[in-house]
Amino acid sequence: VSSLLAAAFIVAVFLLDSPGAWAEGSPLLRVTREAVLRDTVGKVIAPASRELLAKSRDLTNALGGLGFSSSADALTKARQAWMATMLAARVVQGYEAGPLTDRDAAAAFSFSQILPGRITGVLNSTRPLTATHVEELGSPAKGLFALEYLLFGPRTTETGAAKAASPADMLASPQGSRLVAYLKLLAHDLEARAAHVAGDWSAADGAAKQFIAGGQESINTLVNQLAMHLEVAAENRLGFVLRLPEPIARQYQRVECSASGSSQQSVRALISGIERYYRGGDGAGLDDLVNQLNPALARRIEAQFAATLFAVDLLAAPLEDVVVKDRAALQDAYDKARALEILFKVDLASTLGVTITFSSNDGD
Amino acid sequence: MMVTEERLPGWRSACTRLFDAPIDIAALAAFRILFGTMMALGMARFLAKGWVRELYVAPAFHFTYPGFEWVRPLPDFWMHAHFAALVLLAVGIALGCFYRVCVVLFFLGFSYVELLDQANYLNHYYFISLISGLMILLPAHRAWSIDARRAPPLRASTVPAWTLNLLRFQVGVVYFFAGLAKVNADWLLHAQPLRLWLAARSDLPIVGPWLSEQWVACAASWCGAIFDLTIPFLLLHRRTRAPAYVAVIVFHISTWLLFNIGMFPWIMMVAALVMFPPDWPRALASRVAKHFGGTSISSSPTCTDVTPLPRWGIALLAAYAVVQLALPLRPYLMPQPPAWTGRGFNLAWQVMIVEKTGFVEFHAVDPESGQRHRLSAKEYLTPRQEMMMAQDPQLIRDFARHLSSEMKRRGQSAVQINVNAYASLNGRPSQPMINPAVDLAGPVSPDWIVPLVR
Repeated sequence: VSSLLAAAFIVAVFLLDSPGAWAEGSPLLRVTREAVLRDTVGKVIAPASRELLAKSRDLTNALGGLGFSSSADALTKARQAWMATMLAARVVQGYEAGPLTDRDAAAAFSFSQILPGRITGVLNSTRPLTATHVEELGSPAKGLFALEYLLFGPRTTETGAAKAASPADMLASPQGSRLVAYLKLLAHDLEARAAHVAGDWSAADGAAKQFIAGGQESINTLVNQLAMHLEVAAENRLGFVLRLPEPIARQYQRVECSASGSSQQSVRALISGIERYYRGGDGAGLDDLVNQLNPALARRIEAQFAATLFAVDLLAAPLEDVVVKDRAALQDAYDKARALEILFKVDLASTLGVTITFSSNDGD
Repeated sequence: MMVTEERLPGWRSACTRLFDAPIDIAALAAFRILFGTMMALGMARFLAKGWVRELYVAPAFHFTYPGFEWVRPLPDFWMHAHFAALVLLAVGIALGCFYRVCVVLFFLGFSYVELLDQANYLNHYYFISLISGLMILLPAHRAWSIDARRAPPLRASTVPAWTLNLLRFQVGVVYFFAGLAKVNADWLLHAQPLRLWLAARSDLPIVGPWLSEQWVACAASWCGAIFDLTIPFLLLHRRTRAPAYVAVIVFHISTWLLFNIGMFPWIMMVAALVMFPPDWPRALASRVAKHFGGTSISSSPTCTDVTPLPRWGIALLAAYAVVQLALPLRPYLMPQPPAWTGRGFNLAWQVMIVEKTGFVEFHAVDPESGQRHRLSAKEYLTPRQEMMMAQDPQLIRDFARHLSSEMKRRGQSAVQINVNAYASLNGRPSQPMINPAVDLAGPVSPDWIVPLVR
């Protein structure tokens, strides 16, 4: 009888109260997982998705300007709007789960090599350009990086001439109106996807509520996502350029953001975005949990983020240029990012009781 | 409890008490029923959770045990049928219906499953294999069974003492060596890995906030070690038995609630009952009957003679005992912690003393050109296998050899397999686990595992 009573008491203690109710008021527990999840979604994930929506709208508006004038100024504004959208997308990419994948929006903002022939085919086609037509296009001819190709043109090789006409020339050509229509449809498509994602994160009963209610499951997903994207930053961005065979100039199209010359800014935005998720913005974040459980590790991660971002800042030029001019600096940035990746995959996962479930090479 | 042997002097008396004294069969029969029921539920749970496919059918590669490479999984349907058969066999054990056949087949069937993949090793699976193997020898079906009902000559109210003592020894070994494994600096001085594990449950109501406190982890670590080391003895002693079993219940229910450890707590709560007097089921039944106003429904059987265990039987049991005592002592002979190297960790009751997270990536290296490219494990391993492998250098090496043989099969013969493997043990900072310059596909030098920085 005493055994049964003891067992019943323990079970009752664990099960009868609503989760977190006592934890909130306790002076012993400084940061709860629930608080971390609430702040991560409320202060980082949802604002980042709204930021992406705002920048996508700006891009659509900037491309609207191209319709009235094909001046260099309008093109510059459109390019700036594209850059802002790309940087906002890199932040959102740090947590590529929930609405971003549920809404099938991730691919539109992620890098995949575009096929110039496919894009030229669209421009030369006589088929009317409609939203349906764009919907039917595969990722090599639509999304953020098709827009980059159309706005910036292919990066010229080291030996000189571009293989395709520049966007400015294209806009001035008889094909200009079709190009503008194509650009607008692509931007509308991006904006619509960003709107869905932002709407889902901001809805009262939406993804945010599920994320917070997910508890340890959500912590698992968050840490897995951040670790995976640190691997993307280290291996698929910095390491990838380091491993490119000579001559590098022949490989530009394989490097993310090479057309816009922003590959260094892109990887920096990705890593600093991951740091924002880790910190929970200015609220409670994973860093607070780690600090509570293993302060030494919290300090190591903080120092490694700083070192990695500093090393990436030092590159100060597109990665595909740095690899030729200052390979050691790129190697140093890669090593720092790699160390940060290991800290997340091993030490952080261990401290937070997280199982890393994605396999290497799961990233883009 | 029945004591039947005449007073004999010295070692003969002790031997008689240990081996040949007739004791009530009730405890053995109750253990059979509870163990069979537990196994039936456990195997059904395996089927219901989809683990048969996930663990045995889905992986393209299995980490087989040395010498058991020939043990291969069955196709999907037959693997499921195998588990369904294990459920039926466990029911047969519980009911005592064709008991000997059922327990032999259950032992073989369960051990087959365990031999399929080292990545699935769990201490309680090993314990189940051992117990079901021992039960082949035990006449646990001679009471409260369909076999006994069907064949009256089979019925017995007593069994020789060795039958129950063998189970007691096995359960005692599990607890004691699990306790001994906790006598180390990580557990007692740094309260690891409990500090990490308890803090991970700090969102639990009421107790949650306390779980992130260091002193709670320290107290829990010491209590856990003392519990494991002493509980077999406390359960055997009449005066301490009742509070000790309350402690068993509290301890195992707590671990069940706090940690995701499946059936283990329930199996141990059942197993600990073998430490009770042989007539405990009858005593319990009498108390329950009395409580409800009835009279005692059964009484302890009168003394009957039992066949003494032959000398070869004693020798066999002694050999088994030596093996069971030697295997858990292996870790103490290793220069590096078995939890770090993976050597001597299994089959040694190193229960819940390690939080290890690993990360590994494989590279194929052409020794002539120096060119290297990363290999994906995803093609062969499930995420769970990959996670388990990343913690264990031996499994990493097994897989490196497999990758090498796959590459040879595809015509890439002169390729080395190097790995970048990092791990963190019990809250230590991560460190390289394997020398990245070593070709794991070939013979390796003794220092291929990087020593743990203490």
